[in-house]
Amino acid sequence: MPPLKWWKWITIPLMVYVVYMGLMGKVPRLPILNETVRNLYFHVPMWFGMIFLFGASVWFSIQYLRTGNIEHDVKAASYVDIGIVFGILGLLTGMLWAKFTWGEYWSNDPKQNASAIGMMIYFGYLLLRGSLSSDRDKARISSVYSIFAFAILIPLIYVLPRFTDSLHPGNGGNPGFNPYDQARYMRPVFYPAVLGWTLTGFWIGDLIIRYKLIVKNRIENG
Amino acid sequence: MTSLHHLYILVSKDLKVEFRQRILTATILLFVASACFTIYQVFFAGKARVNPLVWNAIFWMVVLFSSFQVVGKSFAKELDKQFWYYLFIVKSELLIVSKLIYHFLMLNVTSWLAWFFLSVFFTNPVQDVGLFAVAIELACLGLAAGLTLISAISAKAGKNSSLLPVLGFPLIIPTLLFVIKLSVNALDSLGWDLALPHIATLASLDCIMVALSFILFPYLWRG
Repeated sequence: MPPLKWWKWITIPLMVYVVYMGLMGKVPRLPILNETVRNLYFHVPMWFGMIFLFGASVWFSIQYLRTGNIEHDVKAASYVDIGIVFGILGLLTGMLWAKFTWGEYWSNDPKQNASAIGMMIYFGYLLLRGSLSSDRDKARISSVYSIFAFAILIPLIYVLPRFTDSLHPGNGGNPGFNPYDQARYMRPVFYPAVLGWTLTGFWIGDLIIRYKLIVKNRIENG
Repeated sequence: MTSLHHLYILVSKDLKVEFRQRILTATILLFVASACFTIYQVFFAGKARVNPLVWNAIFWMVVLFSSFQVVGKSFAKELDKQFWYYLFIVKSELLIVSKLIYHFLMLNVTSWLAWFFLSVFFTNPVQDVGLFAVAIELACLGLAAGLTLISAISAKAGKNSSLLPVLGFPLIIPTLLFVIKLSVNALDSLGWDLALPHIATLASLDCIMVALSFILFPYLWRG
């Protein structure tokens, strides 16, 4: 067994710290939010993780189109797999949080809608890969789709909400709560949480890639 | 100049084929007409009131669904060996641009027609005609840019005909959302000052999609 890479050694203590502080640490007492404010350490990092993972996938799609090395395509597809898991978890934790604070699981919030559209786009990616049989076709056509889709997803997530009132904190004059101002002691947990969850996502992605490459080699070598 | 000349030939070829096999154009026109009439019947039978905002939603739904009719067929037609012949004589970027222009023109036909039919069956709630026309043009460009590459992708993926809408719907939602915001401005005649940010955003989104189609299509088609 090869030794763990250095960034994996960082991930382990980060996640232990984040999960412990997330459940046990001191949080501000705020009306409506109450203890759900702890979701900040779990819900928000899912979105950061998802965007970084999809970004990595697009990067490897571009690399595939430039070089034609099929390994890049395996990486691109694996990061989409784990990105979708992060997306679904982000949606679920968000819906749960929304039920407790905004009153409804689905509140027609632009960010919520945008993330649902993002999920649809990447389910389409899986569908497209499923309907192609040859590895080369699969790699080339899904790379083209993935780059095109990501370029449309970014304005959807970052531009559209600025034109619309959002229930999310910091949008459309919504006072809500601002964890960065109100609780300075949440910041030392929040930033490690973002880093830790993102690294966890890349770690799982790394495992999927290694598994897929082993299967691929076995098939090619009989 | 040869590129422009090639482009002109490709687009006029598509239009000529469309015109000679009038049955294709007629199908699309009838699609729009019967869609509008069906919606009218549904609303009439259900005694539903149509206010301008509902009219707006109906209009863009008709445009959206007819755009899948327009875009869906064009690459399926080209999948045969004829298309490989084009690849030898013109740059592949030109092929996607010619398809884009062709789709843009056809979508113009369907959306102006949808406006006409919905105005006849219901009323015409549009107060600022100029702004609404701008919204239509930007929407046609956005739909053409968003769906042309996707239709090439789904044509490449084979016979699965529902792949185009499945891949196309989520990608077209951003364009539609901005178009709806813009056209609501046109309905209420709120003036160009308020609409200008929407026009700018929509135009830049269209530009991104056109540019990406142009860059990515050669990779898709050559392999």
